[in-house]
Amino acid sequence: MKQILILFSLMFSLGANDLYELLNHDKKELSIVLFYTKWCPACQESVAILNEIHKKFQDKIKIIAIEIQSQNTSNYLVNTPLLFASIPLSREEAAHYGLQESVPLIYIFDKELKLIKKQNETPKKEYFIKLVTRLKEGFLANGTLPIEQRIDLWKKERK
Amino acid sequence: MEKREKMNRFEQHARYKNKLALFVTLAAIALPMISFEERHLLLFNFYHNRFEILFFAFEVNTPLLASIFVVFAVCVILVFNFTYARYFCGHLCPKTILKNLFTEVIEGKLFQILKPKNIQNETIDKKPLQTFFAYITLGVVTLAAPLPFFFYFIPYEIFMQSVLNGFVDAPLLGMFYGAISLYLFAEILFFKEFFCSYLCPYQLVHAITYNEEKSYYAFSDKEACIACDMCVRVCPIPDLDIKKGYDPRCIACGDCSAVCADMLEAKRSTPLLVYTDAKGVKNRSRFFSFAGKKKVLLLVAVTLILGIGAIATLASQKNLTSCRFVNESLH
Repeated sequence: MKQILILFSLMFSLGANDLYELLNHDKKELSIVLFYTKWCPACQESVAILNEIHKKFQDKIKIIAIEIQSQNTSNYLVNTPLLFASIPLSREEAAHYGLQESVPLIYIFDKELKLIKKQNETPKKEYFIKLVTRLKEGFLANGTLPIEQRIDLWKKERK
Repeated sequence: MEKREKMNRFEQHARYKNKLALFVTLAAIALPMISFEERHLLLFNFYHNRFEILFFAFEVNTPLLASIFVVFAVCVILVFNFTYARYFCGHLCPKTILKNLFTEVIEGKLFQILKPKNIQNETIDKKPLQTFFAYITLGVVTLAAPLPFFFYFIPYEIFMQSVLNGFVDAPLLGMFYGAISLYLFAEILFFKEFFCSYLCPYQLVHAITYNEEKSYYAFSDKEACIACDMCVRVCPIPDLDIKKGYDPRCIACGDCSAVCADMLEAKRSTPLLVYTDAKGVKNRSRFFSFAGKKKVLLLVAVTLILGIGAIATLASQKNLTSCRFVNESLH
């Protein structure tokens, strides 16, 4: 939790691109933040996958896309149109949010804005579907029960 | 005076081998260094996640780049096996070249240590001090020897920077480098041709690609043999007697043939040991030493087509799962 607070305190310092407010506003079960570029084929694929996720779970998943701006705009790929909000950001600014040497960068947050997953590659559609069903059935994001519901079977058997 | 004249053929052969070794070494070192607009002739660039070939560059993620390297290596091994067969081992193999550098240049010329090769009952002057310094020189050489190998995976200027910094920025790479260096040292001093005979992937592929037209050095005429045992003496493989017949350990270096020609100079025009195949065709073309011309060209073509196809599929941009900012200009 502390780390996320630090992360978001950094976001506050940026002011103009207030991601925290964006995430906090109209909270959904899951929030996805995607850092992408227009020139990267893996990003375009990620956008296409997230478009599908957006269509399917519009009421459950909130997606915020952040486009990393680039200097040379000459040889861009054919872009996949986005179905969700997109914010332009420079690479230096995005570095405050943990963007390093490669894109796409994806953060997945739960309802309390706790970081579930951070990944630096194209996501899989199946993962999101699994995640949504897990949360729906009352499991944690990693597929286990919450701590207070767990039964330590080995302790019982000992007695 | 007489002796020097006698050794002419052997010296010629040694000179030819050395020239070839020098050329191969220089080519192997230069290959990943040649670049045009930061795109190399051949580089499996794990540093920038790029596969660079013929001045084209493709962004590839690390696991796929490793697969591309494996496919490339398999293709190279197969193509050499289909053409030069075992001739490659004795003349072009970098390990043989390094070993010859030690036995012939460092031990032979620099410190003048004679070694008991395959002949017992011979008094050999042991020179402990010279041997010690020869080993130290070998240590220095093996420390530098893995450099060209690493230049194929990391751009040489970046790798050299890392080396000069003492691998502070990449300790794991340093350990890997040290391990390879240590292995080469042990290989040349202790394992010797054990590696060539039983572990080398090239030899294993050679062993399973059976072909009657495959060339090797064979002993031909028992009656004409003067039993000078020079062929056994010059053989770099320990305990190998070529006169007993075909031995899978033979690396086709051709030393025995050259020395035999010298020994029999007065009696015969051809040596008793000749590069031949199971059908008895002597002195075939070195390049087509695996099979007939047509078969070789067909096999090489098939290998190349399959290899290029596999590499093109692996390097496809559809397989990318992430892109790096350094590679922006490639897209």
